[in-house]
Amino acid sequence: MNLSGVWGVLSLTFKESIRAKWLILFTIVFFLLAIDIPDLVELQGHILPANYLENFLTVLVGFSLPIIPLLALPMSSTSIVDEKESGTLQYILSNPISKTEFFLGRTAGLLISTSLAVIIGFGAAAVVSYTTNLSAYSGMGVLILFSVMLNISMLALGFIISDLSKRKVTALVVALFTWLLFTALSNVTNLAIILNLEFGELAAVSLVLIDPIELAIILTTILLGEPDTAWSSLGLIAYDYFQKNTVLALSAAFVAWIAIAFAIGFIIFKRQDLS
Amino acid sequence: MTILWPTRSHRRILDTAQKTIIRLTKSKPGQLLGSPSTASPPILSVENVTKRYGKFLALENISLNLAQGNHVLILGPNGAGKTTLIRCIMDLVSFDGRISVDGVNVKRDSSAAKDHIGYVPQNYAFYEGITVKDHAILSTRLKNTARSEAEEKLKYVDLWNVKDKKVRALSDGMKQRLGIALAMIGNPPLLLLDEPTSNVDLRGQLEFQSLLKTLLKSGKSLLTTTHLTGLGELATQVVILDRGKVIGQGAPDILLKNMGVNDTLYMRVKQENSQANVIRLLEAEGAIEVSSDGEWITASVPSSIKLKLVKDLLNSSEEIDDLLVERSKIEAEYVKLIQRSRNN
Repeated sequence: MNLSGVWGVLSLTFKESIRAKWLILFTIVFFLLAIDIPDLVELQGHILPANYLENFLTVLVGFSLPIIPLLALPMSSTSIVDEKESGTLQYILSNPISKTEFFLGRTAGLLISTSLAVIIGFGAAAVVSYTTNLSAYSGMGVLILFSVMLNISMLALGFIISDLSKRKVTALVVALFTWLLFTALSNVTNLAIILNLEFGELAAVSLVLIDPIELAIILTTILLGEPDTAWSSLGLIAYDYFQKNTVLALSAAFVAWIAIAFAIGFIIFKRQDLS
Repeated sequence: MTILWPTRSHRRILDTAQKTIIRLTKSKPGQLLGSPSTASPPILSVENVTKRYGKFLALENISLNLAQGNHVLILGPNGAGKTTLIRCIMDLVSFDGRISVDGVNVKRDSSAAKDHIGYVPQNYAFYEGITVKDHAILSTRLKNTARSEAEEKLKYVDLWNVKDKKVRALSDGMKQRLGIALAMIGNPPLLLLDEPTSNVDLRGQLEFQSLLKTLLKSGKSLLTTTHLTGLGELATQVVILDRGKVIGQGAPDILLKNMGVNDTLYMRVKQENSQANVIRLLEAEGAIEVSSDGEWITASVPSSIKLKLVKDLLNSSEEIDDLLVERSKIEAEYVKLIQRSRNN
């Protein structure tokens, strides 16, 4: 294993991500989403209850998780096709570095840079909002954990798109469409109910299992200990199906989703000719 | 029983040992080990390589050998398969046949084979957003060599003074030299140069030719692809590719001779009324396509009669004011060979 080469690709990817400003922009967006300035002002004026920020996490889950893929998907979906288009992938692979080592370095670089954006954005917001209220941090920790997992799953999906695209612009359009599709699946309440009524619980649960955004939302909501009135229809159906094994089953599905997507992305990349 | 699976470094040691044994067994009595030997294996060996992209045949049964310190020039129009051949050598695409670099089979151990290769990409495909120095450091990491090589190689191509500039800020000539510097990191014995002069001006081309001469003197082996003129004189071997097939291969002079290509003679006479006499003399001596354009006479002259013809002209009663013989160049003539091959 050419570890020096892997490190070279990793550090290049990390630096290029930061240089693109995309990452910094998203860190600020995540921070602003999580900090919720209007509510902070109202808290200072005692207009909102003192524990409002902890309750606000439920709201934050609903609108921040669907935005997470917008960071990872465009970055990873263009990461390989862009290098193919510009010829730099051929240059990199002309060195004594294998496709496996390149993929490893590229994945690690993007994983670290995008996960840092999530962790720093939400983490900084938690520090500003909760200051010394340490118990409140665990809730934010759960949100960060599933945000990072969602981020990883989207990176893996992005690699598949990048492998299969011939042009960077095509990859970007497909990535945005994929995000839209998952977000739509995650938000169409009636679809879950129709599937449940027409084809049974398993059909509705399948809708959860194939959508990492929905998986992240349901798991975060359950682990935050939110009352079932705050759950989505799909979350309720999934809980009804898996009962007390819901967290375990959905977590396993989430991990499997990530592993399978990475494996597919890697196999396609490894077998592809550079042309 | 413990079984030790050979790692990459073990395999390299085995490769080196194997090559040393080959040299020892092939060396003549008294010959120093490691000194250039005609019996030493070629630095690059391409055997019956065929590459298809779906139904499209990009390369058909290509074979060539490149000896240590030699320069093979791959000539061909766009789409002939030149870049595909380079991709096969670097194991970036799947192919049928066998390629070995310095004795290492590229299919069996691609990374070890690429240890012996330095590649200068077409159109300067570098990371434009990083500095020259950072790019060189990236190359040392990819090749797993000392960081100090970055400075050494940038100084070699006279780019150390612009080390903090972004790659995108460099001129085409500088990018070309950067390509050479990056390719030389790790001191590979074989350099692959893909269309190295396609984007540089005349001055850049001349500088590049001078750099190539230095590389050849230092013992590097070069494989260059081009569809332009200017590199033929530096080549020891030329391979002409068209539509994925080799249609001509050999030393440039021999190829030109076999093609029946003539040199061109230009001359100017002092008195205008002498032109007709000179033209008659040229035609009588065996020159062909003789014509006059203003004060200049142009003639196509077979190499076999070139010297005699010039001697006779200078000894004639006609006063020659100026005379120039232009040697034909394989890079300028290969198109005719392609045309002939396509017509057949």
